Formats: sequence, C-alpha cells, structure tokens
Amino acid sequence: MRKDAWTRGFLFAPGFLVYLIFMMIPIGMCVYYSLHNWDGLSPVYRFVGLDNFVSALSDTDFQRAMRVTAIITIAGTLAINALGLLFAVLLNKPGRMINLYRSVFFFPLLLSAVVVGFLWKAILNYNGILNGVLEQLGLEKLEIFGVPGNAILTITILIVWQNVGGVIVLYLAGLQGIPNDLYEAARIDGAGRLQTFRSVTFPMLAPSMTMCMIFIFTTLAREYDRIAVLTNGGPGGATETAAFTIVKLGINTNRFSYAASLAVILMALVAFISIVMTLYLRKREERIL
Amino acid sequence: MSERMANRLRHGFLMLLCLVLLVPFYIAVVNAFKPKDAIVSDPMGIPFAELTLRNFAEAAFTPTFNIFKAYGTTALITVASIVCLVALGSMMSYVLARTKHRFFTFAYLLLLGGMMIPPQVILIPIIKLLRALGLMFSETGLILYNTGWYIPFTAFIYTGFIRTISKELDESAMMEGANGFQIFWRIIFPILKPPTASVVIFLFLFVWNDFLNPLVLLGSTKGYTVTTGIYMAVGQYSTNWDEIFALVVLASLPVLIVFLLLQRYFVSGLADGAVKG
Repeated sequence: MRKDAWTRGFLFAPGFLVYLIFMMIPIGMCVYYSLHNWDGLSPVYRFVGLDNFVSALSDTDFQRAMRVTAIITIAGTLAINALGLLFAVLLNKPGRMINLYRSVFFFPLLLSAVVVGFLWKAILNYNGILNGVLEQLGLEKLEIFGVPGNAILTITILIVWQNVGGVIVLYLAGLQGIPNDLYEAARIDGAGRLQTFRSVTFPMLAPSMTMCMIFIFTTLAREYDRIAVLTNGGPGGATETAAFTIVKLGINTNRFSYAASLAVILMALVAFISIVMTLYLRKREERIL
Repeated sequence: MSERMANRLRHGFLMLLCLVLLVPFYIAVVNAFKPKDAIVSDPMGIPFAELTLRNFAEAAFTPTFNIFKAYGTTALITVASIVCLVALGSMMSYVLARTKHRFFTFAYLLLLGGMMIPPQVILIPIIKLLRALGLMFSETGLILYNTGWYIPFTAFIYTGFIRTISKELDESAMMEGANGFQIFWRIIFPILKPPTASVVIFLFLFVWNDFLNPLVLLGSTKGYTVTTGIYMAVGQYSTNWDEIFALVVLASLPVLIVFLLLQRYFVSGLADGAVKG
C-alpha cells in the first residue's frame, strides 16, 4: 500500500507541478504586483496597499472598457445560446444535407479569431469589399469600425458567428440524450411542436445550458484577439475590452502593477459571476428535472 | 402545418442561411487568386482569365514572414504541447478519478477554478517567471506555459471519463502483480481513446489558433506562429487586401485539412468530451 502511494504521487505530481508553477504561482504574483508600484523595469518597488485598486475605480478608461466587456459578454452569451439552441433543434435530424449544414455552422469555430478577423476587416473596412460593392450599386458607404457603436455591434456579431458552432454541438449532444419516450408521451398528449419544445426539449436541455452559458461567458470575458485585429481598441479607445486594456497597459506600456490590479479585478468579477451563474443554473436544473 | 411542409421550410431556411454564412469564405478564396485591381473593381466575380498565384507568392514569402516557417513553429508548439498535456493530464486524472482523499478533491477543485481565469492575469507575471527560468522568448517556455494553462481542461475531460471505467480492471491487474505505472500505461491508457480524441481535437484548435500567448511569450525576434506571424506581417493599417486574402487562405488550410481528415471524429469528439467530462 505504501508503494501504491508512491506510484500515485509519481503519476499525479508532474502535471500538478506544471500547473502550480505556470498557473498558481503567476496568479499569486499578479495579486502581489497589484499591491505594489512596480513599473516592470526598475529594480525597486514598494508596497502601496490598495492604491492601484482605488485608482482603478476612478479610471474612466477602465470603466469604459468594463462597459464594453459587459455589453459584448452579456449580449454575446445570450445570443450565442439562443441561436445555438435554435439551430441545434433545427439540425437535430439525421441526413446528408443536415450533416452539410452542420459543417457550415461549425466551420468558423475551427479558424483562428485573428485570421478571420483580418478576413472580416478586408470585407468591412471603410475601403473594403462591402463598401466597394455598395458603391457599385450606387449606395452609400458604411462606416463600421470608425463609429464606436457600430464597431462594438459588429464585433459582437462576429463573436456570435464564430462561437455559435461550438454551442450547437453541445446542444446537439444534449438533444441526443433526451429519451424518446418523453417525445412519445408529449405526442400522445396531443402537444404541438412549440408545446413539445417548451415542455420537453427546453427543460431537458438544462444541464447543457448550464455548461454552455458558463463556457461562453468565461470565453467572451477575455475577448482580445478580434479587438486587436479589427479596431486595435479604437476609435480613441472606445472598443477596448478590459482584457485588451490590461494587455495594453501591462505589456505594451510599463504600467505593470496597475495592469496587474485591473487583471485581479477582472479575475474576481469573472469568478464571482461564474460562481453565481453556476449556482443559479444548477438550482434551475434541480427545479425542472 | 403538415410535417412535410415544415420539413421543406426548415431545409429552405437552413440552406439559405448556410449560403449566407459561406459568403465570407467565398470572398476570401476567390479574391486570393485575383490581382489587386480586379479585387477592387469586381470583388464578388471570378475573372477566369486573370486568376493568378502571385498573391500567395508575394504574401507568404517576404523577408519578415515565411509561411512554411510559421507552419513549422506552430506545428512544433502544437504537437509538443499536446503530447505533454495528454501524458501528464491522463496520468494525473487517473489519480484524481481513483483516489478518495481530501487532498485530491481539493486539487481537482483548484484545477477547475483555473478554467475560469482570464489569461491576462497569468500573462503579466509569466513574463517575469519565464525570464527567471531563462525560457522567455523560447518555444520551450511557451510549451510549458501551454501545458500549465490547458491542463485543467485536459484533466476535466479525462477525469470524467476515467470515473466511468470499472475499478475491477485495476484490481484484477493488481492481483497479477502489476504496479501502478504498469496498470496505468498498459491497461488504463489504451482504453482512453475516446477522451484522448476529444482532448487532442480541442487542444489542436486551441493551441494552433492561439494568438496572445505566442505574441507575448515567443515575441517577434525568436520566431512566429501562423497567427502572430500574419498579425505582424499585415499590421494594423494595411489595405493590401490581395495579400490578406491569400494569407487567410494559407493560414486556414492546415486546419481545414486536419478537419477533413478527422471529420468523423471532430463533432462526436467535441460533443463526447463535453458530455462525459
């Protein structure tokens, strides 16, 4: 039995050590830096307590970045889940064509956000493909990335477009798990299509929904790649997400400690909201299943 | 509404939507083969007489960017990260799934928590940590970072699957005098094919398409991946659409090939991973 404990240790330790060294220690370091005034370069720095957090609270740029993050995350999470659910239901029938449709929905998920970001930029930029076509048709050109509202809306739509495929797959898997006799029973009760969806499909997908909501929420809250490619935070910082601001301040300029404190705030908020969402959605599962 | 009518409506809607969804890819592929003035004058058409490979030659091989070098670096980082993650993650998950002890319950929760962390939290300190280890701006550093970053996800999928495997398998092997390592590598690991397929597919997509981590940790001097190389080659303000379309096609080609080869495993792998995990 002692030998057994040793082998367990040897099987467990390498992976866990890598996790501790490259995840847990940096998280600790991030919190540590957030309480100091280090610029990333100078050898001396001192403890400043919560000063960085106090400045963050009155930092209008960061507040704006948090608002942009909130808009993208909330609208994106809801839209991706609603559309993912809708398409999963529509695609939940075997067949040649259906497989083809599935692949089309799924395809954007495979590609890098940066690479398709450049593709969309070439299409949607002011002197891009879309405006070329509009001009030829004698229509007015669209200003998309130069106007904050349009830019944020477009980025959100692109995020939905690229992420919905993954959610469709997860909901499809959930749909396969619904026992057929429930549908049979609904049919015998004379339920229509919409009613069957409301009383069988939707409630039975509660566990899938819990997972999809949390997964998409945590993914969208770290949105960086598309912003970097499509607007680089512009115009005038109006499309910066919190994740983008943190990288900009911490890595491109040397406000290391301050960026660390923003990262801690983002981490705490994401963790808090994820936990609340998980608890709520789990409760919801118990209530309806 | 009759069943048949509803079915037709559904197919019509889906087909139309799919055609719309394919438009951006059509634009990318068609324009990648067109000279620049043809892109501007007729972005949607296919001028068969003018089609050319020049965009590829010009965009993919410049003094600062070589697509084959980018493929090579990305493939090395992706394969090495996946090998480390599958080996370390599966071993670790075996212990997590089989041992009832407070420490391992705690360790599992600590791992799950890691999946919620925004990467920006790690990215700032990891620069300093990798510098101290002499691994900053190296492929090794990025591979180790990837291993730490994705091990929660890997463990999540493997642990979920191993919990469904009967314990009798381990016990009968133990009766025959096999030690823990032998049991894991000879008996458990070979039956972990379904979760391994899921893990490999997910990690391939994550690591191959990763942008911010290689941008920061690999830097621009020592090398570039497909995503960071294209980002640096194209830049923020370029309007050379001809080159951009060619690069989009070249960057997406490897993923597309892998997808077509593994299509059968892709969707089921993604779904299985999620459901059993």
